[in-house]
Amino acid sequence: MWQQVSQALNQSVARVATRMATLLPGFIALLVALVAASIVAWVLGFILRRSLRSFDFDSKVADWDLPGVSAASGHSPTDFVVRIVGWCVIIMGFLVGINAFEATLTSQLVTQLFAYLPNVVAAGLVLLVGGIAARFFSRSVLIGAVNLNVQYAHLLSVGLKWLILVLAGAMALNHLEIGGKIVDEAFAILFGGIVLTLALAVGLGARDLVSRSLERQAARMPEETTETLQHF
Amino acid sequence: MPETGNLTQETTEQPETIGTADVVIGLPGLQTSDDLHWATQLAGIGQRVLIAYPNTVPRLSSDGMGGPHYWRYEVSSGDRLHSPLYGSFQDIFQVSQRASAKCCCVWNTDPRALSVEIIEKLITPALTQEFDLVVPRYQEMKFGALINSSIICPAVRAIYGKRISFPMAIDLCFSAKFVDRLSQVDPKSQRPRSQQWIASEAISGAFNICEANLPMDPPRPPESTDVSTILALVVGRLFQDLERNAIFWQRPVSSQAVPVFGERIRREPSDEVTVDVQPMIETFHLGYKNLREIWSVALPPGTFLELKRLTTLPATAFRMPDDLWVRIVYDFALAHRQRAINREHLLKAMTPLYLAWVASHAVELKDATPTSFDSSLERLAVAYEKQKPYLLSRWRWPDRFNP
Repeated sequence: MWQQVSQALNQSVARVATRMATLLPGFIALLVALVAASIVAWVLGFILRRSLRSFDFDSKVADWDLPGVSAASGHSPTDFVVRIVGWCVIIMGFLVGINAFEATLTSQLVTQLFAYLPNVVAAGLVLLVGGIAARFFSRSVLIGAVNLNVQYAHLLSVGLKWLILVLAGAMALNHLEIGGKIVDEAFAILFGGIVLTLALAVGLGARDLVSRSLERQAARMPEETTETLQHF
Repeated sequence: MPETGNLTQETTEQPETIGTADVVIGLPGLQTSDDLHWATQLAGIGQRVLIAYPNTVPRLSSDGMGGPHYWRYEVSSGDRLHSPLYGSFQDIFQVSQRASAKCCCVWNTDPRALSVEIIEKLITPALTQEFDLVVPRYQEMKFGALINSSIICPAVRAIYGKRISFPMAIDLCFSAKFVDRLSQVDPKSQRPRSQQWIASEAISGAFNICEANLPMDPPRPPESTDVSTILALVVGRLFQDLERNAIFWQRPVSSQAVPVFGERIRREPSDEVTVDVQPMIETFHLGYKNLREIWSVALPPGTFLELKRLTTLPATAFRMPDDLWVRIVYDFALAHRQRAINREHLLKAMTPLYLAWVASHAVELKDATPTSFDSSLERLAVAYEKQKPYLLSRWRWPDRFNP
């Protein structure tokens, strides 16, 4: 009886060990691929950073005056490009390493991953553009509203910012094919909720404020026509 | 014969009938021939006058009684796209060169405001005293042309070293020499020099500049333009110009007056001037509450402390010190140069600070006489000159610690 148990255990250990032994080269290959990719990414990043700085890439990007690029990324444009290239190389190394495992299974995984990659890139772009647009337009609204002496300028600005961010988030999730219909419905509820909140805040909560503001505006009309103060 | 450049087909067909002229008067803003009620009296100035007008107006013809001749030019794309606050010059300069005119007067604002007296005042220094640029000096009035009084005029005086009352005027008179210079392409911007700021072109090119007192108010901007937009356009142009001429303006250490022709004219208001400063102070408070993130891109912490102190003052005692205002303008110029944030955002975010200065100015000069009004603006101009080393230092070493 014990002999049979011991034999079964031995066979099980042997099977696991054999399985581990067959997977070990794959693991080592994955590690080697990741280390090699990291080294390549570092070398490539070093060369890229030097060459971008040599022709003053940061100032050239600044000259294009792209709204909020540096603020959105939190780094200089050179660092931003170098990081993107670096991560691309590391991901490539990871995929090569994964392929070193069982060929049929991993090649399917790699194929699916590559087929999904455009969606990830598109979603990332949508989020990036959405983030920049949200920042730009909320700032425009804030400055414009302050200059018009609108007391709820901050509320308008934050409302617009979240409208754009929610829209961008929903679009990104759609690209990633995550959530299906739930995203559409959640987006509709959130978007509608923000609009309703703004409408209520301005229409009801700030009713007195708006009427006072309009009264002041009306009271100011005759003063402007007397031309006592000219800016230009 | 000077170069014709890219004169259009229509203008090249006309010179045989026009010939040469002593004076070219360009009217880019002409809408209808009824606006030329003064043209018949031009025979009295004793010069051969050619009036150049855009082809959007029906063709005009000379009366053959010694009055002006007319030249209808096609508006080029460059001049068509130009902002009405900056004026259009290039097409008229081409006409002036073609007619070999001794001087060229470009009246960009409403031609109905023009008269023979004004034309004479503008062209005489250029014709008889060989001045290259005659800049109008409009009637001065209490609380008029405030962007000019608070920023443009004193900044040009401090930075470029010339005391010109309305440096951004777009109704100007030019000598033939200066017209030739302005028709060239600027190597830095790759645009005709006429599309740059004319006054700074004249100063940096060492051309002779003078002012002519005109019996009229400063021209008004287009109706639809709000303070914030005007401020961004005008101040943005000043800041861009500082960047373009950085090598030149770092040299002058003091300012010189330019010759002025004609009697100084001041328009006294018919009633006592009262300005409601409360809305402007409210806008400043609102800006201080909401725009600090944007202001912090330009302003150092010390300035914020002073602004905070301003927010605690009541309207009757609201006073922004000259030095503080000057540093704010210089700090915004530096932030504009560094492109720390979108330039339009930066310039428009300056509006509450500008309105704070206007409110302070209005409170200070509520019951002021013309003399104290002048001395207040002179004090501000001196503050701009005194603070120029601050601008210079931060322009050269922007990363240096600045409390």
